[in-house]
Amino acid sequence: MKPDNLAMPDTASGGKWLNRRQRAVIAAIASAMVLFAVLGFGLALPGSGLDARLEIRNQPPSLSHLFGTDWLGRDMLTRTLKGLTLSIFVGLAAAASSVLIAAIMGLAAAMGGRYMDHIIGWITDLFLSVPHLVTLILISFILGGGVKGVLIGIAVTHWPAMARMIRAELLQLRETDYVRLSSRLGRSRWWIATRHLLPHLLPHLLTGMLLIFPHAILHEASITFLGLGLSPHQPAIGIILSESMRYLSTGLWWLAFFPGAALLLIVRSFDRVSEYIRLLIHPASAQE
Amino acid sequence: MTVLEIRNLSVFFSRYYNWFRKRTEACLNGLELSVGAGQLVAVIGSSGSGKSLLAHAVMGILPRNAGWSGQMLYKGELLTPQLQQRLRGRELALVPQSVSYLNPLMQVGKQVRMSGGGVRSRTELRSMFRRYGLESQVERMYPFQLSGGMMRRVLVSTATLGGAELIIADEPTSGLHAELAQETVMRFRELADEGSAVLLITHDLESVLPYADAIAVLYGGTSIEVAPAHYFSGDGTMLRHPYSRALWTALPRNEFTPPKGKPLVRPARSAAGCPYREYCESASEACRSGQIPVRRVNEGWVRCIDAT
Amino acid sequence: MRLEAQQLGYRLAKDNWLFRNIDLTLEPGQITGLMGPSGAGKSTIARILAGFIQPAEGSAVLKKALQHENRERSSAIGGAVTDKQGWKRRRTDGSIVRKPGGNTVPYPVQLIFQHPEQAVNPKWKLQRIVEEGAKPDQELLSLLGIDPGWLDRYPRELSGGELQRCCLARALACKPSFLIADEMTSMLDAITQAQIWHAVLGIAQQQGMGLLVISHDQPLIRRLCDRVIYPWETANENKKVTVRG
Repeated sequence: MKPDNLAMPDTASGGKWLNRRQRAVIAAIASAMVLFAVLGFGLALPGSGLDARLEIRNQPPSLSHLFGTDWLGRDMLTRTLKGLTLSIFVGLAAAASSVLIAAIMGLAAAMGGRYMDHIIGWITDLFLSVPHLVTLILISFILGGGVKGVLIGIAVTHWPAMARMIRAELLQLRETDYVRLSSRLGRSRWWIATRHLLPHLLPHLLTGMLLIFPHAILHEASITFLGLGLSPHQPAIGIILSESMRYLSTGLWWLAFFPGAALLLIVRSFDRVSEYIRLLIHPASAQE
Repeated sequence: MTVLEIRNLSVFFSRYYNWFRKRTEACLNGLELSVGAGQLVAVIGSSGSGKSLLAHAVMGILPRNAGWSGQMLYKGELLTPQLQQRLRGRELALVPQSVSYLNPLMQVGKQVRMSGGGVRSRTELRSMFRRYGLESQVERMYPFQLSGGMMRRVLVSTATLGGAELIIADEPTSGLHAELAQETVMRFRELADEGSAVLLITHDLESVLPYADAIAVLYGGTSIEVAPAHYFSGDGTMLRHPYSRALWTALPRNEFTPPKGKPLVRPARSAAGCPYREYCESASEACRSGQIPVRRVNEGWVRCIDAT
Repeated sequence: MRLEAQQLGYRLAKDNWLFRNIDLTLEPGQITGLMGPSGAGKSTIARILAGFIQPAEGSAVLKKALQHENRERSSAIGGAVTDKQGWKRRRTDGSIVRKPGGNTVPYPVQLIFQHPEQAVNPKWKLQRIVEEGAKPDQELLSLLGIDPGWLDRYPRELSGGELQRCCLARALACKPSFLIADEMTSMLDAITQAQIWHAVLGIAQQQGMGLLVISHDQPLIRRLCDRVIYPWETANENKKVTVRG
């Protein structure tokens, strides 16, 4: 007698230590901790580290200056943390406004009738047809740079893909039997929108925001790096990176390395969390 | 010759039962079934009895969070994932439940020709379509352009083009009106007469009865009775299991009466005992525990203590 | 109240008619079977009668006899006609039935779909689903064989038969004048089918509700219905509705 055939994928039999939901939660907590640590230190650190102290300039990393100091003797750890704090604020604000625009546009396109749909579809195509960075540079240039320019630029360029998704989702949802039935059961449009449609969209909006956030930070850094974003006096990651490029050839590697790695860490951790959430809310992979 | 023999098949899923913990739940439990060459066996079961899972387990296309135990023998050879992979689409064919299994962006003819890995010649396809009364222009249509009846014929031809030896059809008649349902089942009968083994999975006893050799009744995730089709006749006294009898009397063309007692029928989910015990008039203490043994009776078998 | 449909037509594209010239009448308390070839638009008729979609031509009208005026007043299923109780259609696309006060009320024609899984919001618990139109009383729930324990669960945890019972409770709680069952039990096994129909027939009789049964299952239609209509045949022959059984 042959042994019973037992075929069980590792996800089910516990071949991995934790199931996907547990890993997702751990990743989310870890990212949140990193984020709050950066924000906390960034806000709590005294501004004195940003003052120029020429007697200790160009020092490599040491115990008193963990990330080293730059050509003006400023503490790189303070600069990095302050810069990240600013970047995170800009990223969060830009991602949130982007999602808000996307939600409004998607909703209007799906619910506002044919003409509205056409107009919004046209605007969406317009924004999608130009690369993000070009529009972004244009907008920040017109608005004269600074936090405001970067923020508005990112918010205005990142909504189209998401608005499209929301529109498609709503169009599909509106045709489902249970939504159509709801009006036959005597429910008003507003009631259906808030009870049936909105709860369905919320997870999408959340993941959308988490996905835009790292983009927003990177774009902020890149246009600041190009000199069109924040002013050189502000401790932004983009500024730090662009300035330190000039000193790389002279062997001051720590000027670019630590701020760059910190940026990467924040961006990656958010990417990871949003990827987990996406897998968990997708029905095909929800139970794995 | 027995083409497919299933012994003690269980299929289980691991699902989240709260936010963080997973639990393994059995959806099929100790299922027994066999189909021979030239035979058409209908598997009858209510929704949620695990009918489709049976088909997916044999084909080896269970979802990633599912597993199975037991034995499946294809022509006496143990069906391993490797063997399933090799036979799938060639000797093993599945006629899926709906068009959603077709690629919506690909012409129908091309899909049928490419089904099961190998590409078949256009003439082969043409003769197959002619046999099923599909005009040659259907080849160039996309799935959404097909009517319900055409779609069903296309799906049947997908599975039969490769000359499969074991054909499993999942709910091939659901949503079809009587004539079309009859025509579809007749196609499968033809395939069986040509020597294939056909497993027809359905909830609609009526449409398969005239064409089936044997009926396997599924309830609560297990097969409770396998009986020759002619047992389902008259007042159903030839049937051994009380659930099969209740199913027969509940048909609109018979008494159309549900069994007395409790108003709903939800099978007992535990692995032990008979799944029908809560609703059975002659249930005893012995029906509650242990595995109910399979009892051979004349031409079939039944899993009931009271069966004679 | 009587439900009258005259010269209904529906098209998929400009010159691609799914059907035309369909006449049918539903009387209160009567069980009518609707039969026709598959793909002929049985489900579309059901959706027009229940006000889900608008016909391309013809009209579906709820007629109510007004004793004191000795004449009939109709409220169109499409169109803006006010009936005795003040049901008013706000828009012609048929989205809402309104009372003058602005409160909405359930529509008097309710539809039961073939696939209950698609007719319930997967994120709602059944308690909320069942009460969406009006709160069903205990008696209705027990008549339909609904276990109170189900109401605390999500749709995916119930079987098709159990969900269909809940969909019925949701529709019947609104005390509709007409119930349209579009292949209501064709995905269910024979025992569940018999149980559900026995319950529905009892409730229909008790409330004087009219029933339209759409099914491809001839023995079932013969079992259930007072009369069977074949509107396609009559549409082709352009004759009056055939009444059989």
